[in-house]
Amino acid sequence: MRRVWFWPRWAARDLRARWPQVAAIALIVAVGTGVSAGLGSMTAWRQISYDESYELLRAHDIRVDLPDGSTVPAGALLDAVAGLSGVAIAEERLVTPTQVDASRGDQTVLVPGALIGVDVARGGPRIDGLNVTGGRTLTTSDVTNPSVVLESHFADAYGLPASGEVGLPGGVRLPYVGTVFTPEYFMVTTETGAFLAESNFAVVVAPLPVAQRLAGAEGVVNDLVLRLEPGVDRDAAKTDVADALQTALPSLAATVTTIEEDPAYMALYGDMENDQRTMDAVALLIFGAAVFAAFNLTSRIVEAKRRELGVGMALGQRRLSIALRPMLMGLEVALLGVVFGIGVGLLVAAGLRSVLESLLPMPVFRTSFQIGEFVQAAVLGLLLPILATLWPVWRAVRVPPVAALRTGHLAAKGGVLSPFLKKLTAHGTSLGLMPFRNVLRAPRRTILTAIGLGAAISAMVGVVGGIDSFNATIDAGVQEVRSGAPDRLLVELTGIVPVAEGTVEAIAATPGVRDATPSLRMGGQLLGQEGRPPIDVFLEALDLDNDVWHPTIRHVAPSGDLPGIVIAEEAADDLALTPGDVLTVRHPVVETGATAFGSVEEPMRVVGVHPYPIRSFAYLDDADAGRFGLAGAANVVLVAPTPGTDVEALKRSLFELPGVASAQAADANATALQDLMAQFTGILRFLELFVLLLALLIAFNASAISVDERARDHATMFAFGVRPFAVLRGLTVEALLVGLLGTLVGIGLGVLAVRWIVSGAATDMPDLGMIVSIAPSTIATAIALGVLAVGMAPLFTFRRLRRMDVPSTLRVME
Amino acid sequence: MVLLEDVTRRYELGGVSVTALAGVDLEMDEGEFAVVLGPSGSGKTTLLNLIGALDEATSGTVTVAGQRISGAKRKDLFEFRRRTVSFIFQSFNLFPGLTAAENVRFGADVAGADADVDRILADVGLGERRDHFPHELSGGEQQRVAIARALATRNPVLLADEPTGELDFRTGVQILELLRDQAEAGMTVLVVTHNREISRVADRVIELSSGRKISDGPPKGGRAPIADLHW
Repeated sequence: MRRVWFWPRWAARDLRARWPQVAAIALIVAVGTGVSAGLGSMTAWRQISYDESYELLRAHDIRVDLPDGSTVPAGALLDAVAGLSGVAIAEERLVTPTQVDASRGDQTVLVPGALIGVDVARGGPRIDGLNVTGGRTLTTSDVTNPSVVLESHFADAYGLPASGEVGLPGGVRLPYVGTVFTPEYFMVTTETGAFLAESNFAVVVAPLPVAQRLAGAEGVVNDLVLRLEPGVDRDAAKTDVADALQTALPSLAATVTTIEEDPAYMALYGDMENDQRTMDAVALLIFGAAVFAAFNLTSRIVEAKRRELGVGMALGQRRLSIALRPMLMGLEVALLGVVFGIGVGLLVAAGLRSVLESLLPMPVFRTSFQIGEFVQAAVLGLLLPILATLWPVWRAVRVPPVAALRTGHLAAKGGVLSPFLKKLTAHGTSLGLMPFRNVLRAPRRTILTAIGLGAAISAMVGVVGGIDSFNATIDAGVQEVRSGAPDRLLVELTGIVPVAEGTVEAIAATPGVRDATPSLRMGGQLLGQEGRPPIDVFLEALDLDNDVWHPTIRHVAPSGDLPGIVIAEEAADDLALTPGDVLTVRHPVVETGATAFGSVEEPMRVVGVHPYPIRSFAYLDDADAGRFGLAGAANVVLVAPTPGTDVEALKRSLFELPGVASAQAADANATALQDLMAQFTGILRFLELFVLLLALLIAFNASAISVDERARDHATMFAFGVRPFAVLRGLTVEALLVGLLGTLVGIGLGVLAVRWIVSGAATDMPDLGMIVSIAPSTIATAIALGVLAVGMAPLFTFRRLRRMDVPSTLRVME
Repeated sequence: MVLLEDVTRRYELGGVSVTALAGVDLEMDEGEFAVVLGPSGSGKTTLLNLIGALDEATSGTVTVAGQRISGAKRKDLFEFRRRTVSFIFQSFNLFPGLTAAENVRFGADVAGADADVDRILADVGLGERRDHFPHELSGGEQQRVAIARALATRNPVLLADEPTGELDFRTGVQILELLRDQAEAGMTVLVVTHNREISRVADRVIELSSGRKISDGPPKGGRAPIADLHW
């Protein structure tokens, strides 16, 4: 038994002799293990919580929605799918754009949104149910005493109470009796591609008859949701539903989608996967830093034990037996790291839990301890430091015994850069030259330390740079939206109306309006060439020479004999088109009066591209509105306020006009997203803290080892009267040089990480043309972390320098 | 130049009090070349460290070049070492990242001395090796660089701890010649060694045993020419 414990005990003594470095390396492994386990838990929580939340509220499997402005008599959609097998339940709805006035006291809350009319009979809606977060849900009594409920994200964004009153277009004011979650708005997304848009998009849910009355659409519906029997294939059912609609209502251009195509669902699950990829990369980088640091420490400890290993060789000890002690030391460091790592993981998980619950509240949030994630991270945390010790140990046991036993000047070696070092001279003192020479004299160590630091810093640059890229993309959008008319308002009408009918005139005549330009915005698709998926877009027929606003058009090309279209640069890239190319556009066309549309495909020429980063906006000249069968009609009005006008008051005035569904600042979505991103960025301070800790630990480790290794040099300096501060200065300069190198490595790796994150985001959010951008503040933070924090590390060794036993150190032979 | 009065140094080792030096008196003049001789554990290096202000006496006083260093402030001790003494070590202790010339320059830099590095290196026979790093030099060459570094300080007292300990006879003799040259040039040179043969070339031999001075005077049979040494 004693023999079994002999080697571990000896290895433990080695560790005790270097406990500050060992503690530092164990903490590095702990940060790698903990961050990995914590981040991995987040994905598991999200998966479980999302699945359970969607199931709890009986989210639809299939949804049918009609183009803007199209409606059918109530019951028509249900009848169309009535004979389909595999459908468990189906419910009709009316979904219309609206504007919600939830102002209270001094707080003006006037935002666009959607009014959703649902079947509340039998405790409904039975599909896409309502989860009450405050007040109560809807009942049949709310049909006779019209009441509504507000979507919870919106209510939370403005701190609205559980019940109160809201205003809707046309001067209608209604009580709201509760706040609710509903699956389609677990993450608030808008038709125009905005996400996390709760502060700028209000969803009001009402009993169907109430919604019909409010929208002036009594007896009609435009939306159908279906739940399938368990085990029924959604894609097959989708095809069946589309076929059934085509048969029953052949002139209807309905869109049939599965829940997987729902924007909120896609954003939540896609975001989860993308986040996991990013977090895996961050964890990998942090683990990488830990491995390099472990490698560095072990190499140096093994080197320091060179003579002891040589004695073992001289005594005939076998290589495996010689390697056992340093390997056991690696194992003990790894074990310590994993034990600390569980603590760090719990800390990270607790932080992420509160972040998630506040950023993406869901009806169900399960944040249980994810043992699988912790075990996986622990295994990695255990294996990687052990693997990192293999190489130095393997090298050490292959040295001939005579070389291992050699002492004093005979053991001294030069680095591979020795011939070049001579060329590095300093104009100052020899003391000032030492840090530069020391950095270059041991290039392997310098590089290992720099890579370790670089890996930690790149994790920070990667994540914060990813956010910078999001911000830069949003900023580019805001800039384009505001170009020429910063205060521009976007007025949505309740339907498509002839421009000459009076609504547009009324808008133009409203006090405070300098200019108003009608526009017709219709849904459509840009069809790609073979192998390229189509892109859903808003086709906006607009006077491209109007005085209010028009898109910035780049690379103008003549349209020739075809109608011209201006598409987003991102769309052009995705479809491999350049101005002058021809593409096929699928767009609606009036076929059966003003309430329903058919669909046609026709070639158009790309006459230019616009820089708005969301690819789902395309522009036609207003003369082409006739292609929709709607010449002279509009459903949107662009409004330029008179300079000095109170824009909030103007929005209210416009909102009260008959025929106006909403009036909002044109940049509202983008600025709301900017605000949200600013909140989200705060979370990253959390990550920066860990990176700072890692950088400090790695730097401390490197400094502590340097102080150990150079103890004789330092003692000699003290013998010659050099003061400890001067020695510390040299160590600090050396650390700064390594820190600078590590920071450069980190920024380089970080830029690659940002590109990778952005490419992942582009896959998950294809409508968004992300710009790769790293803010100067991110670079400055990286430099501050990498250079300054690392430069500070030698301060922690100052006490040891001051307390050095100079005579003993000078006489130490090895 | 060097004055020790009733100097005692005790250490605590594992709870046991060990007396390294016990009541030692010593006086050395400027330009004197003295050898401290004694077996291992006799207190030779302790004596050297006390004179060099690397260690502090438990009792008694140490005065070097007119400065009383017993009880002096830490700051003053650093200043003393920069301006008054310089060291030569058994293991040379050259800075591996600096060339021979830069190691010598280090001595001048810390002492604030205006030294001609190339001339000093030439004086110790290393004019051609000025740009070599320590690992590119032999043991003897490294020790000569160490001597050059000490000389570059232009400090009046040179303390050498077993300067020939790691060298072969021939090289050791060269080093001793260099040290005696310095004494003849006016430096006070104190060499610690356990090698009795070396003591024959000194002006004076101070013999220690168990921390006590047991003899102090010229070498037996008078000072011998370096060429007569054998070990």
